[in-house]
Amino acid sequence: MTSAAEGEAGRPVKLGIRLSPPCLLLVYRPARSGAALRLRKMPVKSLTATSNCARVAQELRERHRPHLDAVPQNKLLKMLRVLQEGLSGGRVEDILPRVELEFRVDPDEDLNQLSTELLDRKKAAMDEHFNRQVVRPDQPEFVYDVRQDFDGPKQHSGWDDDGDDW
Amino acid sequence: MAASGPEEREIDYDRPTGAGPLTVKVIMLGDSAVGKSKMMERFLLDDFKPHQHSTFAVNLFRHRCTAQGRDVLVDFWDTAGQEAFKSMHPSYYHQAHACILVFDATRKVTYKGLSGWYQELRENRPKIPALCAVNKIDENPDVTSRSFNFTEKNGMPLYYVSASKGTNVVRLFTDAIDRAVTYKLDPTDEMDHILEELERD
Ligand SMILES: Nc1nc2c(ncn2[C@@H]2O[C@H](COP(=O)(O)OP(=O)(O)OP(=O)(O)O)[C@@H](O)[C@H]2O)c(=O)[nH]1
Ligand SMILES: [Mg+2]
Repeated sequence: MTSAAEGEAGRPVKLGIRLSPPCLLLVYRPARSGAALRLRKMPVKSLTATSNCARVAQELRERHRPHLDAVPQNKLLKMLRVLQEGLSGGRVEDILPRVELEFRVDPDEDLNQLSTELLDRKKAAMDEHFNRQVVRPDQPEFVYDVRQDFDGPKQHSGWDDDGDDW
Repeated sequence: MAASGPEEREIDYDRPTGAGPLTVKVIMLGDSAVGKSKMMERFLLDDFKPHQHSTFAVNLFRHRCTAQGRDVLVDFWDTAGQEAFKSMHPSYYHQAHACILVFDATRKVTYKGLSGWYQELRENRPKIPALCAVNKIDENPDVTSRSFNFTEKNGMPLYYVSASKGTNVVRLFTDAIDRAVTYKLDPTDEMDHILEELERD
């Protein structure tokens, strides 16, 4: 996917925003070698305080295809969340740390209780790791049934506490 | 919705095994975002097309395969957000033949969550085979040299899995199907029930 997107749209270099009017900014290196960096401005007109950012992200991806194809979903969602918070005023420096938290996975947090939308933000952050590790069926090294034994000596996980009663 | 074809109809999993494939039900349990759906997707690949249950918010995946020389139709039941209640509807457990319990190698809190799921499982299905998977070993390879009280105390097999790389995913699901078929052909909990009644007489 990345290589196809690079072929047509170049490689994304930086993603930024302008709060008012809300606009997403993408700096990319065009596919043609030696070409100078370009800036693409993508106004985000449909965004309101109650918009579902995942839906807005999808609209943007379609409208600006293929420019956003190689931009990770969580990066895009994060920008949209900053823009969304910015609709009611405030400075990026103040908004960004709040939004960063929404996309950070705290290993001790119970995610069972989150709303679907908040859970999707955590999953978008996890997806970035997943996509870095994934071997998909269309890749030459893909093997359907990967078996690996881990039967060496085991140490205790340290995840059990004295009071635990399984 | 269009009328469902024979492949989409809901199944009575306890149906006696006469003609046609053996039907079994395998359920997924575990906290939010441990990777239950990604594991299903990695196992089923192009067949990862959920059917919605007609009355309950769950995703069903139907899978046809051969196990123990038999033609088998498996329904996998996957959660659709009920984790918020830390509890599943009893119908989720009803007639299940095997259970896959999943936790996340990067989040201890999901390991702690297993006890609640396991307790609810046993209240509903005291005897069905349960298999445990620790997923996302690609993110925390160290976990593959670790042991866990939960699986040891409950005598449960532990699978070290990565849904992203595919490690041990097919092994886990084929073992679960195999255990489900064995259980269906010899449902020991139903036998216990009958023995109890005899003793009372
Ligand atoms: N690195 C890595 N990430 C994974 C793996 N499996 C799942 N993930 C990530 O974990 C997140 C949650 O995966 P899901 O399959 O949606 O988890 P789930 O258990 O079905 O979650 P709910 O349906 O909300 O209960 C996803 O964003 C995946 O990207 C894995 O093997 N490795
Ligand atoms: Mg899921």
